[in-house]
Amino acid sequence: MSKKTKSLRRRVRRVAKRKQRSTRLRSPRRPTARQASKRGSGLGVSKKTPGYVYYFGDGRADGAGNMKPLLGGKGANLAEMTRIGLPVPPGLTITTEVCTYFYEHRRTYPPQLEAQVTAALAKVEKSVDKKLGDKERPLLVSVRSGARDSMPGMMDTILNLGMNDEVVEIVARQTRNDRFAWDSYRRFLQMYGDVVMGVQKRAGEDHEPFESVIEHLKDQRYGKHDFPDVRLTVADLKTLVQRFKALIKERTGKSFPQDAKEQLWGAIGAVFGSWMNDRAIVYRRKYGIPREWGTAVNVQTMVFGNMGETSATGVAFTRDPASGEKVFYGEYLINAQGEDVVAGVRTPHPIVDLAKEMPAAHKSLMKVRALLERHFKDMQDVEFTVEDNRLYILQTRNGKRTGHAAVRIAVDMVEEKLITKKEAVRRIPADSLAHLLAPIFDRQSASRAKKIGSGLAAGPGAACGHVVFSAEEAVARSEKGEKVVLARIETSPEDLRGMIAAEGILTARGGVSSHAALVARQMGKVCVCGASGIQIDYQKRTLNADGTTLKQGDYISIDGSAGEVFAGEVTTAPSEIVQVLVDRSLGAKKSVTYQEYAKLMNWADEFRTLGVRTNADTPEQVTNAVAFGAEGVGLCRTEHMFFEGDRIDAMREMILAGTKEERERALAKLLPYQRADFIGIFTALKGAPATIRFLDPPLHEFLPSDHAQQNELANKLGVPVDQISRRVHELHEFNPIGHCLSRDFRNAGSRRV
Amino acid sequence: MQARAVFEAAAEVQRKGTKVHPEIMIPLVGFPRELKLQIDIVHRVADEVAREKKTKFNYLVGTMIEIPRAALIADEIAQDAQFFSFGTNDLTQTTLGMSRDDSGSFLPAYAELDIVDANPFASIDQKGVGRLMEITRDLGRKTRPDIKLGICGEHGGEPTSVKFCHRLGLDYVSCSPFRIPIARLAAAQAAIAE
Repeated sequence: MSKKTKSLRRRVRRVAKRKQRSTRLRSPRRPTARQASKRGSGLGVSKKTPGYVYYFGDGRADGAGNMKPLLGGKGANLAEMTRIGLPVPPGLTITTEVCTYFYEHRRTYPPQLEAQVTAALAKVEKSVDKKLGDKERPLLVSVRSGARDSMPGMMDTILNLGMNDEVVEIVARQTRNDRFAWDSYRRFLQMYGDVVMGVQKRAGEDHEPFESVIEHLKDQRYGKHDFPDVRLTVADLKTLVQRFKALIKERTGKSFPQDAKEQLWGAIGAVFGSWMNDRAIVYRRKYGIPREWGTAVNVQTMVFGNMGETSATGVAFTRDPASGEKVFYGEYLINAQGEDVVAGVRTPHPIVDLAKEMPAAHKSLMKVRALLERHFKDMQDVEFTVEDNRLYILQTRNGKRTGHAAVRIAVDMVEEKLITKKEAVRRIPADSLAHLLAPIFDRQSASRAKKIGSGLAAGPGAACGHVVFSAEEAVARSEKGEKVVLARIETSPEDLRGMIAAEGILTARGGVSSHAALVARQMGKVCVCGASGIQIDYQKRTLNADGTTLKQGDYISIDGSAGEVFAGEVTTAPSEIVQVLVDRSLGAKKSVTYQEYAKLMNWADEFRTLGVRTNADTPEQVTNAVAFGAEGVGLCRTEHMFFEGDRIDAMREMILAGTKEERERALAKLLPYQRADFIGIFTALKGAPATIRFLDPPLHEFLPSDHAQQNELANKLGVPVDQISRRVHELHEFNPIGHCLSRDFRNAGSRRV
Repeated sequence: MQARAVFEAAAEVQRKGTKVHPEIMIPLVGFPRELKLQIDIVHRVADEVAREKKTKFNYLVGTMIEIPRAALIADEIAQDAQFFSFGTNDLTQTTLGMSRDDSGSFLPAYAELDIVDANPFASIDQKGVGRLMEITRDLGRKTRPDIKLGICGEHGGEPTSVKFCHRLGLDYVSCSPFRIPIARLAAAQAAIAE
């Protein structure tokens, strides 16, 4: 299963869990364009009374999307969705001002609040034709926090409120699903007991008290306390309900309240109280959310996707969040309860199937999709539930997307006249273009591979090949046409040829600015660096990680966008943009990705005033950079010109020269190489400017550091090895501020032109 | 030798009808006279090659600004330098007194403790290094109003830094080939944000 499918599944599960309810909602009326009053609601409250409660339902909402400070993010969003005609289960929002009041007045409410909640609740009850605690048509609600900025999981939530000893029987009867009804009740008791009544782990206890009760029952009846929840019977659940109530009584001295109104006020108080719990305080500190903002409380009718074959729950994106293609994308489960997915018993269906399975709901969903994009002018990520063939939207927000999708969606939306060019350019995170240029792993292939380590994502993209541990081996194999990944403890300029030859570079040591990372960025190489969990043994030519040993030549795959390392072969492909611009192996007209990229870049250039040049040292790099839109070279490092082939020998001769004549002789050897490089660069630039930085290297980088290589060099140049090692040593000592800085300042200054 | 290689190459390419605009950059200058001596050599070699090849060169000579001293006396340096390019990798090292190669061992902890918002080697430290860049810009323009300003550190391809360079009024940013589209987009976003 792909990663995306997995995460969707998790979401479907979460949504399904959130929406368990039992009875039928009346069809929502058409929306009206009533203006939201800044304060106060249509609750018959006189204008002078502060409006503390905002109703939403049946296409009308007292609030609106721009009222986040007052209604919280969730409350404002629910109001906005209701307003634009989405089928949102009705409910009410208690404002953040009540939270502020609550803390300023020793945890009490403003005197008007109770009447306002009662009035708004009456509208909800009228809308769905049910009543909280009713013996015939009981209403179940969720009670949730909602701060101005989302604080996921930090505050308390209560679901299935309204359940009691009588209501559970009615729900069981109406849904013809005893198990669901009793499970909902036992979950509600557990949440309410914990959050509202404070039945929590005491000092010295290892387990949550409710969980201990469950484990005890499993031990008693099945002889093991890890017996799966899904296999508990209705009788088990009924016993749990009794034991939970007893536990609450024993711990608090109070009975669990059977009265739904009492439950509601208990829950509201608990949600406001959770604004000041430890984890919320820590979260606020971390994200700089002021305590004065407070949270709102949302009380909303519950809907259930598990009322039979005419119910479902799912998640959808208005466009494909991976490719950006304008197709409706998502998954759902029919008659879904969270547990079905948790247990992995059922696989979600692709959204296209909904057209066959639930045509009416599918039709409504397609309308919702169009409505959402027209209104929000962006790709939306929607959570929905179908309850007895009726569609409800529980949440919508701008969907997260890949770099590919970001570009495609923005460009398409300009063409659909939904947004302006300026908005398209403004909207795409600039960094996400890196994804478009990087080679990619085939997603299915990656999900099958064994991950053996991780490090810094230093060069985005995906690379796969035979693992080698030396630059020579990398070059030798690549000349034979093999794809290799060069794995080094760390890299140095000596490894450059091997790095160029390799598909990707993996190092066990070094950060984002290490040699490996720098080269990777410069060349657009895939690179994972500083993968400290990986041991590389140059002698044995092996790589050990996470219990896996790879020998030289074994397949390895690295993902430089995620910083992951896999054993074995994961298939890759170069990005289409690179194929068009650099490799020229793909025609521009054949690649939608390239065309959309090119459009976006043209628009960007219409607005841009700042020039963009490239750091490039070779004619080839300059040619590539010009293809990517460089308007010149901003930095050409001449020292890089001295590492290739025989040049480094002449360079070393120059450095080791004892006399001026020797040095000039060595320099004369270098001149033709450099001139040829510059000719190539100037030609590639076609008249654009080139900033050339004269030699500025730490000179010892040109000399080998280990003894064997120094010996080899001594033989080659016919000088005593002592002379080489002494010079290396001297050049190190020249560094005026010790090891603090990487550049060898004084040397750079003394031998420039 | 380097100057000769550049100008001989320029003469060759010009002869084939392609214009060439070399901008020769002398690295790491902290003392105006240090720069002047080098620039004199470049001009001398340019004249020599121009005479030998019977051609003319349209070129600039400038320097990297990569140590605080250079930034602080940019007005003097601009007497001889026709352009400045901020070498922000080294300028960050010398301003923060922090080695880039060693920073990996403590920067993550600094980020964790909210001492730094972002890695200053990835995204320009706008308050410190950025302030030196402002000083350089102002002093440089005082001496030479049309002085060309650019940046060639790794920061040139990082969106937040590109936007900062736009606000600073630089002429260009420079980055590795594969980051050019990112810099173009970030530069456009900076212009739109105005």
